[in-house]
Amino acid sequence: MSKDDVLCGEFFINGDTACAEGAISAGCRFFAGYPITPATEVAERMSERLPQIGGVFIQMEDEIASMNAVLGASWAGVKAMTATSGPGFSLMMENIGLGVMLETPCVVANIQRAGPSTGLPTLVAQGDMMQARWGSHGHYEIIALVPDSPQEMFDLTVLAFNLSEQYRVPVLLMSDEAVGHMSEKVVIPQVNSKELVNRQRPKVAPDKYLPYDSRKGLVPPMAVAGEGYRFHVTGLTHDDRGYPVMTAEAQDKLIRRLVDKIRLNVKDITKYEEVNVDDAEVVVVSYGISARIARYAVQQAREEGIKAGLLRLITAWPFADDRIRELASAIKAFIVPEINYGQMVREVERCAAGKAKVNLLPHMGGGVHLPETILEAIREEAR
Amino acid sequence: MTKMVTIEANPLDCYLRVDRIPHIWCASCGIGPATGCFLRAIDRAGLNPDKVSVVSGIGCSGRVAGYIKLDSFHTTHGRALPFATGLKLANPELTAVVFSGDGDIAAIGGNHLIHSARRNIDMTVICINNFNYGMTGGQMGPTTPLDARSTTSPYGNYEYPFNLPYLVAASGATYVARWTVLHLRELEKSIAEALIKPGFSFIEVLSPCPTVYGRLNKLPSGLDEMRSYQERSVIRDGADPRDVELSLNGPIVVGKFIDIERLTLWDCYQQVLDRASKPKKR
Amino acid sequence: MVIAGDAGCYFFIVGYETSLIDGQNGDNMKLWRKPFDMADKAPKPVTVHINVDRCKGCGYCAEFCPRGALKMTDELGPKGYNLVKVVDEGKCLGCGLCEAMCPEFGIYVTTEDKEEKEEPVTHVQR
Repeated sequence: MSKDDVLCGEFFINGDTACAEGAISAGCRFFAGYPITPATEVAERMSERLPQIGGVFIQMEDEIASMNAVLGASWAGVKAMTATSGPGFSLMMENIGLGVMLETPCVVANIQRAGPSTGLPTLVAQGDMMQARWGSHGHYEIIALVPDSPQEMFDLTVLAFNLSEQYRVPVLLMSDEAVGHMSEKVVIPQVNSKELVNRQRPKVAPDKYLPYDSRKGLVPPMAVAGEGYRFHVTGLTHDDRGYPVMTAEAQDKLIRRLVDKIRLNVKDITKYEEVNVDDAEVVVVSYGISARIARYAVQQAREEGIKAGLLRLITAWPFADDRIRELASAIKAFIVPEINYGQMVREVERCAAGKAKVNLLPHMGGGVHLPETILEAIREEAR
Repeated sequence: MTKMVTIEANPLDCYLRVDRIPHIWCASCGIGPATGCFLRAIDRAGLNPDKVSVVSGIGCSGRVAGYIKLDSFHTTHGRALPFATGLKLANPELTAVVFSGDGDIAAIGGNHLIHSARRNIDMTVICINNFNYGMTGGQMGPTTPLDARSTTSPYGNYEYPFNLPYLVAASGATYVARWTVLHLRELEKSIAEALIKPGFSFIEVLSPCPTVYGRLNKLPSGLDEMRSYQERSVIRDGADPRDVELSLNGPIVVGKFIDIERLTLWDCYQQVLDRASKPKKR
Repeated sequence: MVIAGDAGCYFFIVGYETSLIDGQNGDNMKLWRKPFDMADKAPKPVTVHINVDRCKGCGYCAEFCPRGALKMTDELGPKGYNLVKVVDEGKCLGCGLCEAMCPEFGIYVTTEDKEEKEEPVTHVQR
C-alpha cells in the first residue's frame, strides 16, 4: 500500500464517503456490495477509489453474495468490507455467522434506516442495534461500533478494521442515515502503518500448522489461501485442526473460545465518551445521531444548574456493563434516547439492576429527537 | 500379484486428508470417483497445488472440501460461488475450484451460478448432480427429473428440472461439459482442460445416489444406476446445450458442449484499472 | 499390450489374443504371427493393492474391470463389507480403471517400475 493511496487533508464530505476513505486508510482493498439506500454512497465512493489504488470493487448480485465475497477476499489475505442497510443486513446475517465461525476479519457497515421490512428507506432510525448483537443464529459475540459524525465514520472504520484483524471477527459499523448522509468537515491524516493492526500470521511450517490452534491463545494465527498451508476451514463445529467434529465437547470448547476472545477482552475493546459525568445526578446514555442531540440537551441542562451528564457509547457491543453498574450506584437516573422503541435501554436496565431509575425516550424513526424533549426528561428526573 | 492391505498409500493419498478417510459417503457413492478425477486432473493440468483453493457448499458433495488436502473452505449452503469469487478477485493467482452439489449450486445458489457465469470469472465449477438432496435424506431438487420420486415428491416430481448445461451456457460460461462418474477418463481430461482454461468452466457430473434417489426410483444399488448410465449415455461433443435435457429414463447426452473464448472478469477489470489510474484533475 | 482406458474405448473393448503371453486361449481375435517386438511390449507384472479397511463392497471395480480380473466375494473385511478379490492375476494389465472408479480410494495398481521407487510420491506419476 503506497502512502499516496490515501487522500490526506481536510474535506467536506458525507458520512458514507468518510467511511469509504477510512476503509482505504485502514488498508481495505476489496469491497463487494449491493446498492441500498442510505449506504449506496459507500459503494459508489469505493467503486471510484479502489480502482485508482489497485484495489478491487465489485457490485455483487445481492447482499448475500456481497458478504460471501468479502469473506472470500479476507481469506485470500486482503482486508475487505461491505456496506448495507436494514434489509441487506438481515440477508447478510447467515454469513456474518459464517464469518464468526471461520473467524474471518472483515467490516460490515449498516447505515441504519427505519424498519421493519422496507420501512422508510431514506430516513434515519437506530432499530438494528439488538440485531447487530443477536442477528445470526447460534451463540456468539460480536463487536459493533457507533459513529456520531462523518469524522467518526472515518475514525471508527479504521478502528473497526483494526479490531477485526486483532480479534479475527467481523466488526459491525452501526451507523445511521443521519450520520451517513450528513456532510461535515473530515480530517484525513497521514497513514501511520504502525497504528494499523494486521492479522497474526502463522510462524510454524505448514505441516505443523493448525488453523484454530488453541495452544496459541484465544485468537489463533491465520493462514491465507495460496501460501502452501493447505488448511481446511468449515462452518461446521470444528476442532483445532479445522476438521468438523460433531460432539458436545468440541462445541463447548469452540463456543467458549469464540465468545471469550471478545468477552475476556471487554476492557480493551469497549469505548465510550463521557461529558460531565463525574458529578452528575442524571446521565443520558446515547449513541449515534441521538447522542449529538443529547450532548446539546445536557449542555443546556448544565446551564440551568442541573447536574446532567452524557455517556456516549462508541462501542455498542460489547456493552459497557461495568461503567453502567458503577454509575447506577452513584446517580439518580439514566435517560436513554434512541431512535427505536427500546433496545439499548434494556442493556442499561440490566446493568443498572434497579439501583438507578432508567427512563426510555423512544423515537420510532423517520426523524431525530428534539433537544427540548431530552432536556425536559432531564428536568423531570432532576426534580 | 495381489496385496490385500490395511494400510498402504494410494497414489492419491498425498492429496487426501488420510486422517479423515474412510469418508462419510455411502458405499457406491459417485462423489469419491469424481473427487479422484479432480485430484488426478490437478497433476494432469500441471498446476501448483499450493495455489489451488477448493470451495464447497453444503451437502454430500459439499463435504469434498473436507477430504482434500489443499486450501479448502466449507462454506454456507449455496454460497460457494460468491465466496470463491471473493477469493479469486483478491488473489488472481489462485486457481479457484467450486465443488458442490446440484441443489447447492442450482437451487439456493442459482442466482450466484448465473451471475458468476455471466461475469465469466476464471473459476472451475464441478457440479455433482445426483438428482436430489442426498445429505438431508433424498428430497427433490431443481435437477430431479419429472415424475421421479423423492421424499418430498412421493407421488412423482411435478416440476420440470433444469437443463444445467443450457442454463450455464446461456448465462455466459465459456466451458460447459457433462459427464457421468462412469466416464472417468473423459471427466479427468475435462477437468484438467477446465482448470487450465481461463474463464467460467462448468462441468456437470452425474453420480449415483443409491441410498436415496436410486432406492426411490427403482435403482436400488449403485451398480443399477451405473449400468443405467452405461446403457443410456451417449457421447456427443459439441452438442447444442438446448438438446441435452435429462429425463427419468431417456438418453443421457454427455460430452464437452461449449468451449469458447471470451474475456474473463479479471481481463475486463484490468481495463478499469488502466482507466482509473490515468491522472485526473481533482 | 496395455489397454489404456481412454476416451470411451472401454465400452468397446475388443478382446486381444493373450495366448501368446499367458499361454491360455484368448478371447476373440487371433494373431496370425507373433509381433516382432513382443518381448519389449510384454506387460510388466502388476500388483493390485486392495485396502480392506476402505473397501465397502460396492462392486464397481469388479463390474467395470475391462478384463474381468476382479470379482466380489463373500469374504467380509474388518468393517463388515464384502471384499473384492483379484480372481485372475494374469488378466490385469494395470489400466487403473478400478483405481479411478473406487469411491473409497481403496484399490490401486502398481507396476514393477513404481514399486522400485523408494522416494515418497508427492505427485501422481502418469
